[in-house]
Amino acid sequence: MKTPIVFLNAAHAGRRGFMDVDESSHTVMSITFDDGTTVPDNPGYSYRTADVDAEIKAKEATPVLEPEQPGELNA
Amino acid sequence: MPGNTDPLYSRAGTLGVPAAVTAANTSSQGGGTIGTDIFLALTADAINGSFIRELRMNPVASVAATATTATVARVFLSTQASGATTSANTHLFAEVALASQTADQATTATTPVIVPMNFVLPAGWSVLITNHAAPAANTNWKTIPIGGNY
Repeated sequence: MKTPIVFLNAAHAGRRGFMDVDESSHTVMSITFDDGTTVPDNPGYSYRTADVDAEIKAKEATPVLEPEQPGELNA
Repeated sequence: MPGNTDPLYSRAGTLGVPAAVTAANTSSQGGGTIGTDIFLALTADAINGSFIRELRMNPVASVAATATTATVARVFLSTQASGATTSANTHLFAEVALASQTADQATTATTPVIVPMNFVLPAGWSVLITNHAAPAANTNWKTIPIGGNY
């Protein structure tokens, strides 16, 4: 099963690709860059799945509202 | 003369910052960015340090009966609690295998993976966690430290 991913290393930040997961063992067999370069579990890469990346970016784009202080409603 | 002859007890319990790992980090040397690909689980009490008994890692899912990806979890001790980490300030403490588990089932419980620690983490140090593989969609491994602050 090929799952879309986004690379996170500074050298590859934002580059996309996919991870190939064996469906019977639920093991990542390899990761592949968008240019087709496959890197079988080489050290030094960090990445997250594209859906998690979209979720995290949506959260980062949402303004955080400060909680109201106690008593503020009655002021 | 010894520096201390009295037993020390923790002042208050701590669960640190229960950390969900959302990304893969395929290095075991400690490099990464905290919150992006290496995750903060606990920062020692800033003055007296903290005792850590164990880390409990649980597979969780937001969609019922979803299998987690098999991977290795790494526990690092670091002098960093935010920003970038390097092999010079972040050191591997333990690796544990996280076999695939079907999380969030109706009648079958998952099994936590427990990493014994049982030592005093000095002030200025933190515990960081990585997973070698990215979690499967709608799942992740969450780590809860159990300890006390001095």
